[in-house]
Amino acid sequence: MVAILVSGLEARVVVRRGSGFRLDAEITVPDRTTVVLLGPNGAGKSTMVWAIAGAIPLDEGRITLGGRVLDDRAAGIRVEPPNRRIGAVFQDVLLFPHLTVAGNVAYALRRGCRSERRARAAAGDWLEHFGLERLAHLHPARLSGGEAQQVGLARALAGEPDLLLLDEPLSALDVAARGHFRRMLAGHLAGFEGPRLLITHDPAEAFLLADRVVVLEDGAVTHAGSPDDLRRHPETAYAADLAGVNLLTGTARSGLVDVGAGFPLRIADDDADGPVLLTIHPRAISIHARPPEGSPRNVWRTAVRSAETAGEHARVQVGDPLPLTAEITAGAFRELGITGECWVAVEAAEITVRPG
Amino acid sequence: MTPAPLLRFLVCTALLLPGCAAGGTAGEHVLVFAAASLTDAFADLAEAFEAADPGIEVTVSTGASSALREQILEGAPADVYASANEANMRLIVEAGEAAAAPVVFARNDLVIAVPAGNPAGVTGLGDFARAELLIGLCAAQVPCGDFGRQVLAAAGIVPEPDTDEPNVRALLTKIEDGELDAGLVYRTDVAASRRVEGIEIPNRFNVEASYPIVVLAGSARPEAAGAFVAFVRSENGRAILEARGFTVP
Amino acid sequence: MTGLRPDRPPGAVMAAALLGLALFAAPLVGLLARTPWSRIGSVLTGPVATDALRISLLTSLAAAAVATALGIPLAWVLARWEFPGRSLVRGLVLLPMVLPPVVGGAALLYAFGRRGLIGEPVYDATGLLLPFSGWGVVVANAFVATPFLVVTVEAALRNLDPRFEAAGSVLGGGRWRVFRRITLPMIGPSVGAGVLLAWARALGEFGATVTFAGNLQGRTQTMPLAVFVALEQDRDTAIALSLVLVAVSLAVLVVLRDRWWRSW
Repeated sequence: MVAILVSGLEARVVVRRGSGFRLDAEITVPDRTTVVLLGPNGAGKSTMVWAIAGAIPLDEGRITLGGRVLDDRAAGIRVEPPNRRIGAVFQDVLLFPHLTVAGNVAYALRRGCRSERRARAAAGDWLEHFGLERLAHLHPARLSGGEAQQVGLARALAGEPDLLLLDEPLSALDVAARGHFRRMLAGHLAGFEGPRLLITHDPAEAFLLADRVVVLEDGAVTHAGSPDDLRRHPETAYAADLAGVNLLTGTARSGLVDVGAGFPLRIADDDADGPVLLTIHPRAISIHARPPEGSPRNVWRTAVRSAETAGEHARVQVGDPLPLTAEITAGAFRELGITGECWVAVEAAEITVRPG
Repeated sequence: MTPAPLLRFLVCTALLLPGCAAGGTAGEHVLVFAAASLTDAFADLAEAFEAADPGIEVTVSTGASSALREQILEGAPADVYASANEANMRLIVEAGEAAAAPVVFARNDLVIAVPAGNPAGVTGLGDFARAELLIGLCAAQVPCGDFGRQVLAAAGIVPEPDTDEPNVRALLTKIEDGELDAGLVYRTDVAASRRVEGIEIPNRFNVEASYPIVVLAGSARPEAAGAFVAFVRSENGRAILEARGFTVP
Repeated sequence: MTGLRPDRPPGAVMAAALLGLALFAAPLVGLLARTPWSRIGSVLTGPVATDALRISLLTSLAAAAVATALGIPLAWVLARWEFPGRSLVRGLVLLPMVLPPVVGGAALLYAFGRRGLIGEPVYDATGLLLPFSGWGVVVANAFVATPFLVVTVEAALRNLDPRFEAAGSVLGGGRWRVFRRITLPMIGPSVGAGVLLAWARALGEFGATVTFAGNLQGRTQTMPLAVFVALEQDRDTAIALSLVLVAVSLAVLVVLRDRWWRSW
């Protein structure tokens, strides 16, 4: 049952592709909300985006935005893409190579009745607003990956759209640039009043940017909820794999990371410096009834907040000072008999560090 | 095989040059270059000659006399040349390409050709000055075109042609198809075609085209070539030419 | 040739390449050797040459314009729309490339001549006639030249990533704006090459022109026609006009350097 919204995006999309693949997904994005569509390659994420944008026709379904019907197969209504007032950042950015940065932005500003001349003038202002005016006369081939992504975002927002669609906005960037751009993107997203739909296959991006996560696998939605929901109750193996991963942000120096837990985490990378993103797989976390001995450099005392067994596995949530999700065998959990206080150990080598 | 015939065989089969006999053993092969207006007559003559003399195969290549002349001067391997006017033959003789003195074997004159039914109502040479009609001549550089202009000059008419066709067959085809209202072509062309009618030109304006024929000096088979020329001039040959509308001397 | 840096080709390849070069160079050298250099000025300024040059330039440019106006939409339809019988239509469009030009000219007559399928009713109704007129030359030239442009532009459209046009559409461009601002500029170099090829083909066209439009100095006699007729009598004019054609063709090829094949 989908709540009827007079604002935001509501889309039920059914698209059949030639190879027998069928996308049948329903998605709701309220205003001022970032929904992340997460899924493996080939799940149909890009198809979903192009269908909402209108570039791919629906076989069945209905799309409304801000109360306007954009597409209704049954009723025979279809609004052409240019009139849907959607701002999109495409996979591979797709800046028009024969236009300058200013020309690209001006292209989007032409939506409506503005003349070419006025669009060009407005493009200059818009680029200044983004701090990109120094790039205005360059062609896309001369831009770095990060600069191209920023221009793509500026172009998407230039038309003052009702919906923001971002298809893998960070995938074209190298790892070092990603963190910086992600923070910048988060800022722009927060400033956009309408609904925002972001596509990615990277769980870190999803968890850091999403208000809600929708998991798409093989053309169908397998989970929809908050990131925490997903982390706690993954419904499929894929979801479990990416969802359970613990994500922490912190500041690194000389092999130690401050994650705001009151104690630093030891990592295996002595060179990392500055803002970092840490991921800890649930299976890399061990839980003990008494202080453990041995190699793990990260040991601390905490308490079990909740636990669930599902078949052979138990997912255990531990709480302050550092909330994490751990996965141990159901048998081990029963043996431990832990209901309250416990000790947690994580090897430094098991903590993955990325620049954040 | 000795080297020379072997080389010739290889070159001939590889390049399929005209004038290459099949190994040189199956029979003689005579290549005749004839003016376009002789197309039908020479087809008949070749057939009759081969029937009478099975050991010789005759191939006739027709075109504008001037074009054929140029090809001969550039070394085309023709054995016999039959031109639609004396001027082209004279150039061949002057270049030393004639094996003997040319002989006139047929005569032709011009008529006005109109499409069957004469849709434009052409009556005579005077119509060639009417701009609203579609008139065709041969290009001035070919015999038919040269003669046509002589006829019109003799009649004191300044023509308004819409095209100068490169050869008389092309001109005739356009008249047959009704794309042109009238043109000046040979009498024999009109006789050969069922889709055009002829309108006579007053004798005092008309020209007489003389067709000379000669065996070429560069011929590799002068005897066979000579036999063909002799046939053209024989009683049988003359009968065939007359049947096609030529007059014979 | 097997490494990453271009170096001298193997001997056999060089030999074959030189042979190919000789095939093209020898006729040109022959032509230059026979050129009456002392007379060339007077020949090129004589009425036959000036008429032929003027008609050739005007009709070839007009034919190139027609080829562009009709060829780009044709290429678009063939590249972008999957309809039943598409291969057949493409074959039809490319037919003039393989048809002997004289046959093409004859076919044009049977369609647009005075007794032609379309020509006859038009003539009876309006008195307008294509054969024996400059426009007839344009039609004959466009007939043989357009396929070159269609082939070039269709290939370019196929190689164009359709996502750019989709992006242009989503970002607010209507179909015409996307075509004008995205598609055309992105295939620009190929369109340019196609137009140049079509123009060069039209400039050199002979068989279809003489069969359909006829041959009249000052009205329908293009340079190739003038050369053909002149060859039988006035050698010098023929050679001089041939040289002009060769010079123009060489200029086209020089302009069509590697640069033109760059795509976005």
